[in-house]
Amino acid sequence: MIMLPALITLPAHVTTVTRSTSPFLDFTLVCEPQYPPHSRHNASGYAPNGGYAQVQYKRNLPARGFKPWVYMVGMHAIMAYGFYRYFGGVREQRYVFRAASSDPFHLTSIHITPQSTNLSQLRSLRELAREKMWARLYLTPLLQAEEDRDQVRRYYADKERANKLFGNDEKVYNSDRFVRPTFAYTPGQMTQ
Amino acid sequence: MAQRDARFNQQVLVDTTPMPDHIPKVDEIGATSAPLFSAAYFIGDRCKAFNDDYMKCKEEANGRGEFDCMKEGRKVTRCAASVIKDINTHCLQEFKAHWECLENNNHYLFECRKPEQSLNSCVFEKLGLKKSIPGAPENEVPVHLRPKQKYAQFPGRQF
Repeated sequence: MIMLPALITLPAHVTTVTRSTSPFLDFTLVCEPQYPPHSRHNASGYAPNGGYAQVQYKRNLPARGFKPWVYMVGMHAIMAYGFYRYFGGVREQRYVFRAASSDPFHLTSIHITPQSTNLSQLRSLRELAREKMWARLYLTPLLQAEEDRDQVRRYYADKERANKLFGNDEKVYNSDRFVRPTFAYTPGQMTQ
Repeated sequence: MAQRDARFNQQVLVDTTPMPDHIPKVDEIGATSAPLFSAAYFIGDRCKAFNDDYMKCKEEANGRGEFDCMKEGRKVTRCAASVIKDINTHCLQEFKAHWECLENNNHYLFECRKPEQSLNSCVFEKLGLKKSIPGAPENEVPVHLRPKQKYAQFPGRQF
C-alpha cells in the first residue's frame, strides 16, 4: 500500500479509494487490486507477452519559483550586506572598547598614569568610544584637582576641630599618606 | 551589640569650613558636566602640559598627592578656567548651542555634530585651539568630522 498525491496519473488497472474527509487534507489512498499471488505472470511463471505494463513512477508536479541556487545566492547576498553594515557600526561603536595591551586577546582596563598616557596605541577601531574617552582624559586632572582640594580643606577642618576638642591632633595612622576619612563629621545641631 | 541610633536627616550636611589661609585661593571651575564635556578637547589642547604635570606629580607623590600637588592642581584649574572664560568671551553662542544640545541628547556627541562643527571652527579661529582625537586612524576621516553618524537618531548628514 502506498500513498501518493492526487495529481499523479494512475494507470487504469489501479483503483483509487479516496479517504479524504477534509478539502485541506486531500490524500488519496491508492491500492493495487487484489490479485492472487503471481497472477501477473503467465502460467509458466515467466513475464507476460509484451512485458509488464508500465509503472507510473514520475511525479508530475510543476516546479515553482526560482532555481535553488538563486535562493542560495540571494540569502548570502542579504547576509553579506547585513554583516557589512554591522561591522561598519562596530567600528564607529559607542562606548565599548578594548584597551591596548601587549596581549591583544586580553580585555584590560586602562590604567591612567603619565607614563601610559600615550593611549594612541589603542588597538580598537571604535571611534566614538575613543572620542569620549579622550574627553574624559582631558577633564580628569581638572576634576581630580577640585576633589583633592576639597579633601584637603576638609582635612584641615577636621584637624582644627580635633585641636579644639582634644587639645592636640594626634596622627591616627602610622603613615604620611593622605587617608580619605571613612566617617564624616556631622554637626550636632544645625545652625542654619 | 553596640547601640547607635540612626541619625537620619534631610539636610545636606556639608562641612563649610573654608580653606586655611596658608593655602592660596583658587576659584573652582564652576561649570557643569555638559559645558565641560563640550570644552574638554580645548581644555586638553591648551592645558595638556599642566594636566600631565599634575597627574605625574600625583603618581610620584606616593599617596601624598592631595597635599603635595596642590600647586599643580591650582594650575590645572586656572588653565581650564581660562579656556572656559575665553570660549565664553568669543564663542558664547556656539558654545551654548553645543552644550545645550549635549544636555538634551544624553551627552551623545554624535547627536550634536552640527553645533560642534560651528563651535570647533569658531574656537579655532578665535583661540587657535583645535580638537583632535589622539590615536585615531590616519587613513580615515576622524569621527567628529564625518557628516553622517551611524548611531545618531537622524541617519543623514548632520552638516
